[in-house]
Amino acid sequence: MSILQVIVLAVVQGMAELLPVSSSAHVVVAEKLMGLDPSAPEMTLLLVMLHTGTMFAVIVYFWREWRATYFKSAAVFRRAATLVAIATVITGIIGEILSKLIEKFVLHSGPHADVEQLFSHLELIAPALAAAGVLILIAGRREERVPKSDSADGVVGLGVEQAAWIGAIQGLCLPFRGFSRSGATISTGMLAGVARRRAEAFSFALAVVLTHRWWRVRRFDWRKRGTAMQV
Amino acid sequence: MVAREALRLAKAGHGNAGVSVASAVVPSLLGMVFAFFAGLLALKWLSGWLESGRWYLFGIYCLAAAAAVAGLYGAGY
Repeated sequence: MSILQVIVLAVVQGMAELLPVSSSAHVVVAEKLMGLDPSAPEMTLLLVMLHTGTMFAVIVYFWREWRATYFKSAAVFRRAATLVAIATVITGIIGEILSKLIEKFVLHSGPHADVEQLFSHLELIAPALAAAGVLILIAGRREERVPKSDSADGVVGLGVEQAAWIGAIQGLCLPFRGFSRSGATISTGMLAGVARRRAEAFSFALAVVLTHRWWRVRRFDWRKRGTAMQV
Repeated sequence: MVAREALRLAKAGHGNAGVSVASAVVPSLLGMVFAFFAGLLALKWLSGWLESGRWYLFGIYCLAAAAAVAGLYGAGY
């Protein structure tokens, strides 16, 4: 693997992971175009490091805002942590139920039926991308007509119901690649009445929490895409 | 997570584990630095469009990307 390939992959990963355009499709295409095997051991280490760099970027970028809002006091932190926990639990429940349903009814519970088998299906990625696009379009247009003040809804900027909605829509992103996580969660927050800046900060706080789960899924996916790696 | 992947790489490298890990660590570190700055740039871009009312443009991009992916599928990929 050349340095140029590493830089190209790093830039594609760093940009596509955080912009609401579905990182999966972009990274997979970049890997294919450069002839890289994502299941190779050195590639796995590289991809882990790229995600570490991206996650550091999220923390550095939002640190000041999180400190001013979520870490303002112990009470506010407890409130923010509760909302993140509620959203994450709902994400996990919906994501797992959907995954099991897909494995049972779409993949018919075969001997190797796993929802990750769907990840490379372009016929499923396309409608997921389109659904995310429509959601972003609706939220963007609605926000233009009815802008929400940044100071509304208390310090954290959202309530339990709004966090639950964001968590629920994030659950859809787990089994369906192409359904952009950041695009869907920020748009849902905006549609639920959360100020756009607060929706963005909350969405990326969820991203930091979700990273571990995401890695478990991705590593499994890479192994399934043809690998001799030892687990 | 990074340590675990490095260990997996060392195991996969068998007899040449040291050489294999060393040759993978430098590009990985370089990639991490580039991903960090690309991520910062992406977040600045995202925030800028979100705050200036251009969020919907990401939606148009997703729809165009969906059409491209559907086209690839139709072409047999």
